[in-house]
Amino acid sequence: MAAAVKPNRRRPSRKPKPGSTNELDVFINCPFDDAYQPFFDAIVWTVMRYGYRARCAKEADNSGRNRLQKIMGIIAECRFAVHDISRTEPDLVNQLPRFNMPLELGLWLGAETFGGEVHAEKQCCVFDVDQYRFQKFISDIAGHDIHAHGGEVDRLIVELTKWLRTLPGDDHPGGGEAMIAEYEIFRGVLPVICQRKRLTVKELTFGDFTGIVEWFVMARTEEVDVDHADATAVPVA
Amino acid sequence: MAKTPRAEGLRASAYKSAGQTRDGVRVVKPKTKPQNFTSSEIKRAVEIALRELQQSKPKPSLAKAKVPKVEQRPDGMFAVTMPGKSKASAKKATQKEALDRAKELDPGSRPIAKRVRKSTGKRKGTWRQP
Repeated sequence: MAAAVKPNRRRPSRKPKPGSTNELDVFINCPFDDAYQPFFDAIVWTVMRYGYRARCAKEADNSGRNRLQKIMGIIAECRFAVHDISRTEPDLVNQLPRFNMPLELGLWLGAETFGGEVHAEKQCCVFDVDQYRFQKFISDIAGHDIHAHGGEVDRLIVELTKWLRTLPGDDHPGGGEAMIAEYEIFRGVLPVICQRKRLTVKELTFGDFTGIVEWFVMARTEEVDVDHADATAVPVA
Repeated sequence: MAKTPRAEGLRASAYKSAGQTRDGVRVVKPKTKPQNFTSSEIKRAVEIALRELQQSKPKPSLAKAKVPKVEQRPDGMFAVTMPGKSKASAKKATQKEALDRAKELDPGSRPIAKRVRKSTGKRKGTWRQP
């Protein structure tokens, strides 16, 4: 007898379950220096554009709580994470590499493994410059799918959107190329927005930046039709 | 002793929605509030910046649009010229008739016509898309 045809299943809902992590929170674990800032901004923008909430250690800068405790608190609350372990070069002052990103990746993997049912559904995306370079300095994570950004913001957006599209959820806004085009417009208007408060882009806090991204995404998508208007198009009656 | 982070009995927080975009994405309000702006200041600054961006874009020239064109001839007749053609495809006594004929010749397009008189803020001899 022929097997019964399975009905089309909807993708899993993003509704939070009681006693679970936040289904839309994405923990961003990456360097916070000036050289990495364009990558960090691109990650935050892409995550928010896809309807998720960006979380990182920067959000708790002003509280008196121990930094590691804050980070562990954020890890505990997030279901998803983006880790970038590409910064392996020694810093110019101390001539030593930064170990914060591998440490936080370890905390994340530990939570996923030992955190019980609550954290078992955690998913993450790990970035490095090249796909197999990590095997030379953190070979124990072999088996994880590492995404390479090659030190290019555009490539990072393409890879990140690929991963975001695999996550459970509703509609997604489009592929990597469309996101790059939107992000370029965002980068173009960001200094103009900052200028209204006599600030530079560098002086924005994480809260300011996410606030601007939120309103930009809402306003920009309203304008899509205007931009694509064509002189030859027939008006809709 | 340092407090351990919340893990067991963790409760998912409710999300505040900023709204839904046209492409169907529900935008979630960020966890952290802005320090240098208020939400209304950001909203206004984004709107102004996008408006300025829109205004700075050069508008496509109607004259170069690949649509049928209606132009008055020295004899007073209105000629319909199809895109890519140098000779008129039809001649009518009035501009309205010529535009109707252009729509018949190229259904689905929006023909343009050269102004025959000055209108508010516009010069005679410029193109319009009725």
